[in-house]
Amino acid sequence: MPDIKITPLGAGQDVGRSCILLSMGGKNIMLDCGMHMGYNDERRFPDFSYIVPEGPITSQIDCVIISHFHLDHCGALPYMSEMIGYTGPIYMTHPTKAIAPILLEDMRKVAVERKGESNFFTSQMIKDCIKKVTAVTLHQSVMVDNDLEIKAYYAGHVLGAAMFWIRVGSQSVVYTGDYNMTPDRHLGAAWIDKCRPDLLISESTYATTIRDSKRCRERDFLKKVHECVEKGGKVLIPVFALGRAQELCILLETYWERMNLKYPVYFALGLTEKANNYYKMFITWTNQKIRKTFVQRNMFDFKHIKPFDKTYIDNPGAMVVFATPGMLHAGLSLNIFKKWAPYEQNMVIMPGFCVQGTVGHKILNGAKKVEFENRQVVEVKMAVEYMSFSAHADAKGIMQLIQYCEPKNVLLVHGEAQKMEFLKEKIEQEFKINCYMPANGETCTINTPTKVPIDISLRLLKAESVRYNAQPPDPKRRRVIHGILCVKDNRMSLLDIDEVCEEIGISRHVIRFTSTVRFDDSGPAVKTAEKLKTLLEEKLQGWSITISDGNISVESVLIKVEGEDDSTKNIYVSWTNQDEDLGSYILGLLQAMVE
Amino acid sequence: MKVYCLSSDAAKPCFVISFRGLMIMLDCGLSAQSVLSFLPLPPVPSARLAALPSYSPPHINDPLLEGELKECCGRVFVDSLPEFCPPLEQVVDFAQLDAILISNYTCMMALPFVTEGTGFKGQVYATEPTLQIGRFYLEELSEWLREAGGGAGGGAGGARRWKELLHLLPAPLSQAARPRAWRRLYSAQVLAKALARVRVVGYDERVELFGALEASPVSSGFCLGSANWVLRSPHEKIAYVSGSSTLTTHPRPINQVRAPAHPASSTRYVPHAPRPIKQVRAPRTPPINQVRALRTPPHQPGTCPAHPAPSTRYVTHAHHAPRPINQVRAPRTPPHQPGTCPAHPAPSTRYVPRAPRPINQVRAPAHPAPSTRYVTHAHHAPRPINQVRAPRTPPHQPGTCLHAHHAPSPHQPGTCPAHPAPSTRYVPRAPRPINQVRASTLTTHPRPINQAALRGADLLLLAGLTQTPAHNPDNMLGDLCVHAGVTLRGGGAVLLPVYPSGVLYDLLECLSMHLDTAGLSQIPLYVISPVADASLAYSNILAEWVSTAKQARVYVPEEPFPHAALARAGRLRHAARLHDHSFSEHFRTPCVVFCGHPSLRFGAAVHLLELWAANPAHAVIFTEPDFPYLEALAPFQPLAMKAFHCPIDTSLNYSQCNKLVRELRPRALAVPEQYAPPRGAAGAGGAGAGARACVTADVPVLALRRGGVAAVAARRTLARAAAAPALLPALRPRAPLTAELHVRDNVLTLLPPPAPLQPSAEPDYDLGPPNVDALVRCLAAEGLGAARVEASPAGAVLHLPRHDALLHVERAHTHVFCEPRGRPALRRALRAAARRDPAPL
Repeated sequence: MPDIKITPLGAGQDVGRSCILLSMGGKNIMLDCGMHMGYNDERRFPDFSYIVPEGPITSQIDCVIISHFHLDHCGALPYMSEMIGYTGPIYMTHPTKAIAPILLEDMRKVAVERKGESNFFTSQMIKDCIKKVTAVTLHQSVMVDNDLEIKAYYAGHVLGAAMFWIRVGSQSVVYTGDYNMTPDRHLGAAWIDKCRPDLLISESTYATTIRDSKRCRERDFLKKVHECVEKGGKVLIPVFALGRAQELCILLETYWERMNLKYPVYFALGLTEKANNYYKMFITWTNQKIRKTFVQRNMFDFKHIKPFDKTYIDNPGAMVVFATPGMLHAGLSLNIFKKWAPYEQNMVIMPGFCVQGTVGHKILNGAKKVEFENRQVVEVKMAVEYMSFSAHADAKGIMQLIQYCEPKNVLLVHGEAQKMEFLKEKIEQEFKINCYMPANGETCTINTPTKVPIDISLRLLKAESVRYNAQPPDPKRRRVIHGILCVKDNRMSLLDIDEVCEEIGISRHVIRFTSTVRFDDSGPAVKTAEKLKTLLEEKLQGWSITISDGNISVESVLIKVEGEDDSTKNIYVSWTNQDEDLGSYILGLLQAMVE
Repeated sequence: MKVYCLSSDAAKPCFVISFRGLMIMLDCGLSAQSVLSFLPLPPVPSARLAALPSYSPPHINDPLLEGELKECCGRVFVDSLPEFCPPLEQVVDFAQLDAILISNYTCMMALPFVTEGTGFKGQVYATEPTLQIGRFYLEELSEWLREAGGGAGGGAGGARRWKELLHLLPAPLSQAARPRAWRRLYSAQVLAKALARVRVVGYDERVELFGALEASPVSSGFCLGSANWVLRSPHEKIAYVSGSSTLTTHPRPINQVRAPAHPASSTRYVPHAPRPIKQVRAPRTPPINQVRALRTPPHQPGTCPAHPAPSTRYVTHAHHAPRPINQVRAPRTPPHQPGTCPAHPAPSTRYVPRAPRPINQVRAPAHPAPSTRYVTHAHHAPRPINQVRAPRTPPHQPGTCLHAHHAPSPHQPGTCPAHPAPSTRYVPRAPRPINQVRASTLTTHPRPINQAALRGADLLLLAGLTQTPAHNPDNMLGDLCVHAGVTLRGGGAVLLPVYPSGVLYDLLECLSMHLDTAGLSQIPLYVISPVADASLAYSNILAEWVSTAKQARVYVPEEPFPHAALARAGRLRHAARLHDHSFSEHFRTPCVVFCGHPSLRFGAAVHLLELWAANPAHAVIFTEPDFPYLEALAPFQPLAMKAFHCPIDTSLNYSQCNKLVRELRPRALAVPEQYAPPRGAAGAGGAGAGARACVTADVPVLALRRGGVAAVAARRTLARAAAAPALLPALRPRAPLTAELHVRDNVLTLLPPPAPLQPSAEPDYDLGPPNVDALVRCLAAEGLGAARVEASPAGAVLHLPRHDALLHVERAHTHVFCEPRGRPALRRALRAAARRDPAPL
């Protein structure tokens, strides 16, 4: 039971197709359910047959958690819920729930209509799938069932991106999804409290990079764009509809305004325009500055940026076009690329990471000719620029997050193996904690110490605290508590002996000691007892001493005098084991009196 | 655990609970009723208010009192900056508070009074909408007051003297509650500082309070971001329910009384009498246009004593129609013949019978002398405050309440001096399509109440029930739409004094829809408030806090509220103040104006009311339940414009509340004394006909009063600790356990005991008789020699001849007779025997 097992079905020493199986405390949780953009065959989706070769998958998975709407994190969800037949709970944040179906639909269109794929999910399946989703808000603690609790934290990677804290019993795991530790133009920085999880599963896209100052990169980007349009060139910026696109738009918009430029800036219609609407609606998820000023001016109402029409592709003169998708693997951005690539004055700026196998990846690696499925070959003469605007945490950011939440173990996913290796060493060195980096399909077992909850009786605690406080203060003194451990309804409690006896309905076993003192005293026994009482009252001031029928009782110590009127008396002193101190003191007193 | 109550206003609660060494304030409500004793502060100097005569009590000549009091229509007002009644200070030292938990934005207005300048060092928790909208409320309030600060009449400074002479002043003022504790509003800087202390939380978030308690806000369904708080420790649970509503979960509440069939002839006859709120609601399906008609018992045309003859006119005319209530009202006004009424000498141009008189039957005894005047002329006379407030709690019996029925009921065509002949204002407005009214069924926008989280609490603390239990918000909204429609058609403007958020959003939505269907879609809607733009904008970005239906729109994506679309279409305009250029440029009547403040003592509403008071074509409609509307209107008398009272308070009413309490099954219930059953009436089994509505429960009900402290029996017996992994091997059930107790931040951890543990540190647990064989071995080991064992009827007797010791071992006890010097060894042996072979429990 105290083990946590992690098996990446995707994103293990790899980027794309994030899908991580987590099992702890008897619960199985799937973290993200993404698809791989670089593949067109079955490798596109995670290998669900790993979970259960045949039969229903629902009984094997307790819940699915989606961190954000990027397709490499949610792309396989409709496949899993509608085609594999998973019917259990799915959790994501509100913006993710709103935006994911649009991206899924967009991707489906590209896959089915352009590439003519069959055996792909349909529009209806996407809708049905999203209907099953439970939307969560930040910091809301959601009880999936009696033992499994999840809570979302702000991740700042894209709108609605979240990190999830997952707890089963006393074990907890944080899954970061993709996150960003530096606030950007429209999103805030990721934040998590000191939740001290047993395991932190972190992305590591930029495991080795420490990015230069953000401002420099922005200036660089603007300068390149400006130079290109000044020369009459066309700038293509392939983006994903949501996320970077909005930040770059804000950047260009303010620059155009400041420099009073007139070159047209276009945004591929439909998807992105709608996307801006989502940004307007979910402004609570953006950064402080945008939230503060949105009443006066909504940052996502762009003045200079106009919708794009396909006929504009062949328009003469300079222009800047944002087009989807971001990796140049299909769709409008690829069409525009084909048209503009052979001309030197044009430029393409890749603002994000490109998965292997995409056109974007090829040209970034310096390919001068790109071949397409239909044997079409395009010469790439245009300038190709790469600008890392991807909002992932860099090495510094990852270390920062580890410092924030103080995990006991770290596991790296969503990155390249060599880079991970480097970061792993760094983490183990700096924080002296274990770091893991399993490959896809490899199971990683992490042993965690379990803490068992025990209820302690307040009576015990109060007695302890009275004892402790009665001693002179010493910060180093250990506090020690004694009690009887009871188990009831699978719960442990530490109780006072009397409480235990009461609870199980038995009376305590009493050990009593009796000693005899002989005392030469004439007169009736009652008289002797009276004498003893006066003596005891003298010595034991502040104790309650009572006498009845010749029996004296001091608290629970009993003293009995027996004997004939004129002879030696036997004084019996009797006390329970607990009152040893008092009993032996009284006995000592009596013995001293006799001698 | 103790509960302190610091507020006398149950709708603006303020409690403090002390539990597990923490002092936690629940809500921080500011009672604003006190502002009603003050003269309005117009944003633009008003000649009428400035010209009001000064008042000084008879036979008193106090120069200090000069200019502090003004008289308007027989009522005396304080001419000064208005003051508010903050929570009681003497009972709890605010510096000792550890946390303040805010349930909704109507209950946080006193925050600066508590947190600033008091040494407060704790943390304030509220949801994001609560903080944002609360900020709007507070900023609006301080902005109105700041603006008006200079513009008021002569005595704008602090009037204080009147408080000393309270006993000499006339009735409404003399009964003001503790005016010496009233305070001026804080400045904007103080306000900003107080709000900066708020930590934002989300629904169901668990907030750790110093390791001792876990607090989580759960949705209460009352307004955006409104929350009930659940305080939990591993063994105790306290639920604080304040301002909850079930309206979001029952989209169309209805009452079974509507169900019975009605005479066919009366389908059009729609006197909507107020219904006792206690009736059980049932889901309904009848066609929508009949619903209104179903509301009252059949009332046949012509049978109503108040409308003998020409009632056919009214029959077709739903909202001006005589209501069944005027059977009650009739006896009050019979001697009102044209010209014979002493209060209305001749052709009084004032529109007389409109005077809404909710409670003058109650009031009558209080005014022995000129009471005849009140009958016909209610709002021109001073009215004791306490009695006007009365209708906030007592149950209105069907038909006895005249609230919200301001239609000119006893107003027979042609007989009224104010309306000579065929009053064109009322008649020709043909039968109104009643079914359209139903378009405005009230389903509020917040997230529905989360009841599951509140279940099974050790203590349920309940506050913020409806302030207008006799008014069904659903019907009130219908009435409001109708009144607005009628006024607008008559060319009049409609003024709604409202807060800058809350029901406003629903009103905008419903009213615009109603006006659309009524063919009045060209009528502009105005929202005037310094925070109008922010409030309207914010409401549309709080998608995570609205009801599912509204949330679904965000996924389209569309704004959750339609007012953004209205604003884009130019139908809805907002302005920070009346004299904003952009506003005055577009302003035209007829129109609907939403503006503050609902007390009518400051803000744009004061100016508009001054402007429109003399014109009977205009109307003012009160929807906010916080202030008795007649009180609010008092300084504007005489008033010719129509005044309607349609309070929309979506909080729980008593029957909903009792149902909720039954479902939540708390072990104990604590409520403000206003809600508690009257003393001695316990066990009466629900409110009888004459009894005041109250919260009843089959668990102990604790009544809390301002300044009072109540000890609540939540006996703690156990505390939660965690055993460290190293201790796990030592955990054996039903066995003694010794562990090191580690206490940090109120979190208990058990660790393995420190290594050199003195044997004496462990106490003896004599759980059962020692095993005789083991005992013999142990005795030998202690050097006490061989023991002779004899069986006895109850167990065994061991004899140690060398020490002359005798051990009787029996089931329930072991008795040792020995010489003193042998005892230590014997004890050690006994103990070792018990240790080595612990007796099973």
